[in-house]
Formats: sequence, C-alpha cells, structure tokens
Amino acid sequence: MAEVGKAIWREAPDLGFLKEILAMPGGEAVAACIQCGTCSGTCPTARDMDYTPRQVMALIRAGYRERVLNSNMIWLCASCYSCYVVCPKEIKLTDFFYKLKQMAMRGGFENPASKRAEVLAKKFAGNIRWLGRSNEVWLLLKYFLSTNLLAAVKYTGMGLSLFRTGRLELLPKKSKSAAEVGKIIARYREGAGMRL
Amino acid sequence: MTTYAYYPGCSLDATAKPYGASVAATAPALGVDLREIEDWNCCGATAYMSYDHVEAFSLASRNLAIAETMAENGKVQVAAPCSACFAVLNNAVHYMADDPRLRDLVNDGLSAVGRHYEGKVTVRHLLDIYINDVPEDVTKSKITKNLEMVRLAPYYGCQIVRPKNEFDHYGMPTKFDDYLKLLGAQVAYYPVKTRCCAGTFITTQPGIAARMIGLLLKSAKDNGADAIVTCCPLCQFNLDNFQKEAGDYWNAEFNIPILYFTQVVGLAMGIPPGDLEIDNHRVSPDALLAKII
Repeated sequence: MAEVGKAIWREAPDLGFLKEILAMPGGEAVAACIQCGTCSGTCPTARDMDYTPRQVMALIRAGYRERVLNSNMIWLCASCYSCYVVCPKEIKLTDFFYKLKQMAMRGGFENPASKRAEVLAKKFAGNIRWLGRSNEVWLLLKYFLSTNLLAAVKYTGMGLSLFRTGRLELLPKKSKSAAEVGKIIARYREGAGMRL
Repeated sequence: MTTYAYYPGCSLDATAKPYGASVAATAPALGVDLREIEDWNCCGATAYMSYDHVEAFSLASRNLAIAETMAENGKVQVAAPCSACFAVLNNAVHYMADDPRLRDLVNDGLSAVGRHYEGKVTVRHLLDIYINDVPEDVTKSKITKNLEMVRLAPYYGCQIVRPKNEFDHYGMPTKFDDYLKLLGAQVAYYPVKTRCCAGTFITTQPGIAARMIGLLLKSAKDNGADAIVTCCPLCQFNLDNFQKEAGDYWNAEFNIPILYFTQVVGLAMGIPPGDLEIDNHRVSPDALLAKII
C-alpha cells in the first residue's frame, strides 16, 4: 500500500482534475461515493494495488491527477464487476475505471506496472480494426514485441499444445467484416470531440 | 424449436474450438436453432473497452444491427456462448437504451456502412438458453449415460452474472448447479463459483493470474471435484493451461480437467467424447471419462 499522510499532502491539489471528472458522463459518481470501501473489499486484486478503488475515489476528490492516472489500480481492474454490483450508491465503478484508463492513455501517463495492460489494450484495438475479429497469435506476437519478447518463451509449451490440437490460428485471416469495421470507426473518429 | 441469432465470437474459431464443436453437437438435439450472424465482427471485448468504450459499443452494435435483420415479429434473441461477448453485447443494449446520446453516436458511425441499430434485440448467454428455454423433460429425454459417479464444480465466472443479467444472482447463483444435477452429475460445493479467473492478466500480470487461477483450482480440488465446468472460453483457457504456474504459487499439484458445459451435456447424451473434442484440452479427461457409466 502506498504511503499515506506524508508526501502526498505536500503536492498542490489540482481541482481542475475533479471538475474534468465531474463533467464526463458517469463522472458524477465521485460525488456520490460515501467512502465505505465495499468496492475495495470485494476486489480480487485490491491487495496488488498501490491505491485501492476507494482510495482512488478519494484521491480524485482531493485533486491528485498524477497519482490517480499513474496508479496501477486502474490497470489492475480485471473487469470482474464485483464492486459494480455491490456499491451501495450504485456507482458503475468498472465503467468509471474504463474511463480513467482512457484518460491515462490519452494523457500519456505510463506507470511501468500498468504499461503492459495498456499495450495489450492498444494492440487489441488495432488488431480488431485490422482484421475485424481477434486473432490471439498476432495479438500476442505484437504484444510481446512491444513489451518483452523473452517473456513469450514461457508460453512455448502451451503454444505447442494448442497447435497440436488445432487451436492456433497462425495466419491473420481478415474477416469480411473488417472493411465495415474500419469505416464505422473512421466515421466516429471524424466526429471526435464529441467523445462520451 | 426456438430460433436464435448466433454470435459465436472469435475464440470459438481458435482456442475454444472444442466449445464450438460441442455446441454444434448438442444444440440441434435440444431444439436450439442457432443461425449464425452473417459476417459478425469482434464484440468489442473488455480490452477494447479500455481503449475507447464508444468504439467498443460501435463494434458490438454492428453485430446487433445485423442480428436485427434476422428478426421475426419485430424481436430477435442473440445467443452468445462466450461470457465476455455476452457482457459486452448485453451492456451495449442496456447502455444505449439508457443513454440516447450514446445510441445516436453509435448509429452515426453505423450510418457509414448503411446500418442502423433499433433496439429490438435481447442478448442471452447460451447457458441461460440451455437451462431456461429447453424444457427439462426434453433435456431429460436425451440423457443416455449415467454421470452419478462424476462430481463437478460449476464455475460461473464473472461476466455471465455481472454486471446485468436476467439469468441468476450476481454473487450466489445456483441455476448452473441445478442444471448439472439435472444432467445426472454430483455437484461439488464450490464457494468461489463467481470469482474472477484473472482474464487478460494471464498475459499482462502472470504472477497475479497464477494466484487467482490457483484459488479456483484449489477450491475444486479441496471439495473433491473431478472437473470444473465453465461457460466461458477465457475461463476455460486460463484454468486449463496454467495449472502448473498456479500450483507453483499455491505449493500444490493440480490436474483438474476443465470442461465446457456443452461437453457435459454431450457426455450425458452419449455423444462420443471425440465429437465433443474433450481430448483437445490441455489436462487429460481420461480419469473422468472412466467414471461415466
């Protein structure tokens, strides 16, 4: 768990950050939070986080932009929705954390612990725009090329087993849907600015 | 015979081929008529949601819009065998119904290819359909094998019961348990039935994933399960392929077959295990198969 009560209070709070969050759809959630900690209690990865989900909500309200967007908490959310369904204030936490991920990515925040999840999200999105569907082999190839190629060695045994049983799609097959997917995304991006 | 717009999802063409094979082997006999959505694309999975949720919902909605062209009497039900696809498609339906701005934005994107999402779709998980739409007596009438020596751990995972579903309780579901009993099997006490399988952490955070996967395997082993039964390709993949890493973390040895529920249905129906591609998993199911009479 991160240090609390010392260095943190020496930073100048950035209340513009709180306003930014409140202005985004779903962002009013931070105002509703009662700091009960039920989210952190149900979270299967809270123990691995520098700040727990409850602490992240508190940090947002106190205006600590860097600490929030650099936090590994947002990248250690596995989308299990455990907190989402138990929040007594019915805050859609998982969706809220998706938005923090997007803010961190766009703002260029790169926590070393979160970098891998960020690379995976970017490569996944790129792959879908390329093929229309997901191809696990090419996703992992691109992911390991951008992170740590040596780490891929550990997966050789599994890869062989998958290959032997015909469960590896080695060639990147372009789905017929790819052309349409590309056009839909391009159209949306032209009108960017109106991001929700 | 009920007709569904079938959304198999990317995994069923690759790592989850056995899931696809066992769906094809069991659905027709149970009167579940699955008609594949033409030229479907990625559902807009969890990893894409982190990147841009509107783009993710746009991907989901292209599939939903095509499904709508298959509607009869103005309604259509989409059947998704993958829990992640189910959650994203289902979220897309609910979020667009709640937020007209999101729906307009998505439809503006779809207009680039002459498509439109109207909101006539209901999204269902295939497990929900097998349990709730297939009458119990039909299921019973197809059972030819005796599974009473087999003890199974029903693993629901996250995204079939969360965030929103009409299927079962978000934390303490029981319908999958009852279904395995209906198929004639014993059901193991399995308190971690809705704990997270670690999802994509198997790639990005292997250490944490080993702990999370191990917890699920350990509970099954401690409660004497012969196999864990899943309804999601990613859960199956993680639990099946990383038993050694999970064992190293928990200082235990795991050798637990991880089956898809459709494979258990097929076994009960007496379909040869080869047709259900049960031997195409990492952990051998032989000990379990020997218990089927």
